Amino acid sequence: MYDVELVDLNKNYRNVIAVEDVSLEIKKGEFLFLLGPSGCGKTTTLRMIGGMEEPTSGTIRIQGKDVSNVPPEKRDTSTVFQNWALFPHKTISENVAFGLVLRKVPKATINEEVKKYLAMVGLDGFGDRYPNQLSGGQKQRVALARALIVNPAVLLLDEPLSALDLKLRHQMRFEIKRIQKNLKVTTIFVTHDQTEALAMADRIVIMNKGRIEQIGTPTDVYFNPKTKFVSDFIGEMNFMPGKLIKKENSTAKVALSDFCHLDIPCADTSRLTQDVMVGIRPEKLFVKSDPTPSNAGILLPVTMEEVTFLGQLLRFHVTFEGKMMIVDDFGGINRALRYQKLETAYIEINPKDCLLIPEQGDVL
Amino acid sequence: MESAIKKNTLPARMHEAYRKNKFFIMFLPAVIIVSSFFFIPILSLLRISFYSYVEMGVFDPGFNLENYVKFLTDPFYLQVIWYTMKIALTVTMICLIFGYPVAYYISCMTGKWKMFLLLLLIIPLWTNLIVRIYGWFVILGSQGLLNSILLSLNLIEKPLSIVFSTTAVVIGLLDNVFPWILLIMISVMEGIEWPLIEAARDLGAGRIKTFYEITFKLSLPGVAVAGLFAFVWSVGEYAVPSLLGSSSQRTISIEIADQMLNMLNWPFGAAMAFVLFAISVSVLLINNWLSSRSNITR
Repeated sequence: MYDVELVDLNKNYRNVIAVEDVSLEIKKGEFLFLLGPSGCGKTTTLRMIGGMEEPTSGTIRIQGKDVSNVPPEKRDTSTVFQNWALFPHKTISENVAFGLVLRKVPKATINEEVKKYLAMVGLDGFGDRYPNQLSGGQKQRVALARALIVNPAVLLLDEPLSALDLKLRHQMRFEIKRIQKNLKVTTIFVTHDQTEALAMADRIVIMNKGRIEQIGTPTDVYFNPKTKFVSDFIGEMNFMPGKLIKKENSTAKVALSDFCHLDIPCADTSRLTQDVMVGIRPEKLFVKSDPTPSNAGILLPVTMEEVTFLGQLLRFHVTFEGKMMIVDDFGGINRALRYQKLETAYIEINPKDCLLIPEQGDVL
Repeated sequence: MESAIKKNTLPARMHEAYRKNKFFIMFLPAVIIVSSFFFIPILSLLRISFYSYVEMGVFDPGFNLENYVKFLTDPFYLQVIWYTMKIALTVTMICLIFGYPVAYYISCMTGKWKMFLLLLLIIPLWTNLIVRIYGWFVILGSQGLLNSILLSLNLIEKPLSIVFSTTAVVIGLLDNVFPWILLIMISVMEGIEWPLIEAARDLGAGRIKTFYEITFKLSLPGVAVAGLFAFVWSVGEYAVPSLLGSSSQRTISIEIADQMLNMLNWPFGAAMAFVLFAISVSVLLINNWLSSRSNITR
């Protein structure tokens, strides 16, 4: 049985469609991410699961029970809000205890539990302070403890890290994941930050314009994006327009220019039309100074536009047939710096690394 | 990072400049005006309150407390103090009890209806006080609107005499104070963040519990300020009780004016004025003490 089931969920605000036909099953203990650009409907979906918004149509089931029209206080969900929404007039202990007090838990048990959960998020001894006396990261931990203490069936996190600075954000990722795995609580995490999703998720749901684009594990959505949107949104992707020359059994011959042809593996060539897009990740391209391919690669002559030093890698901006492409080189600073002075160079593409995207529809 | 942002806010910069005494010159004109036209007259009035009365307009400079003793022990004046406090407390209670739900309702609204209701609140404040008081004569008088309606509906047999009574004073004061009270409470309630309410619901509090735990508790400091405002205003108001009140039941401010202007007993009038002042200040201090105790450290 699934812990959370969404069936054909829709949400309209007057004439704006916020969420459209979202269906989803979440297993017990799973750490699921809703990922997408702002306005894609991910927060609205989360708020419908938590009961803060009512769906226009569709069904929400939590542990098999239909809760579509159940108010938030009667749902077995807990939310960590974007700006944490700590009660400013209550101490940290009172904030964390709030859910248990409402459940009429005996006072001694509450005190024990509050202690336990504050320790779990690393805030022993902060109980008597007020929220305004804490830093952003500490408030974040309080919000997490407050949500978890009621032992919810489903934990909902609405961009909880977006207000923190980078270092702290990375640290909290690790901690939230650790706590989630320890408690084995089914968790839905909303974010627009793809690295957050890739780093923490068991499964990622990528949303765009109110619809689900793809559901999959982090490696799945990164290496096998099903739509152009996903391939563009997760990681980085160079898109090159090409013309289909020939369809074979499991490969398609695509021309990027008059003299540059790629034999791209493709399981289903039936939907290909003449105009296609070829997608390739920047780290799958190699810069070369001379036109001799190392293995199965194809060489493209390019003009070097700019080289940017990014710490662990060197990023080249090159143009091929007037189209900008990005190449990431991890191959050591010395090797890479040689190319900095070049005006023209070659980039090597392995057709196996390419994605084939028809004009219309999904990635093949 | 947080502190770096805070350092660059306007108040932070102003505080920095203030610490360096840069703003003193801007402060000076206000200091001169307030001290010469407010503090000095008040202090000289305080001095006069310790003089003794010889005859109309003639006082014996000295230092004695007879004016204060007379005001605070004479049964007639004690009754005046009590009556004034009673009116002020009544107005305050009515303002808070009836104003709270209205303020809550308006603060929850958005868009043009909210603007419309706020305008309805503000427009009367543009009208002259005396005009509004006389407006109440038109409504409450023995041949006024209210009585004609009640008579024509046969609900009463002869006109009610509402004007020149405590009721009329309370109504007149409410007319003055109520819009301000609402504006204060609305602004406090608007400051309560919606996610807090969602968080309480999410953690298992029903609508009523959420209202009590979050909205009500967070609005209390604002309610206290509003109540203080209503009380201090009502306790010192002169025009409303002198025009709408009965001649037999007088408030402190009417007595002060009477002593100052008719009896020309300035020492006694001044002493009463300072007692009134002390009442207002002590209410303010009690309010401060209560709110500092309630741990609202936002």
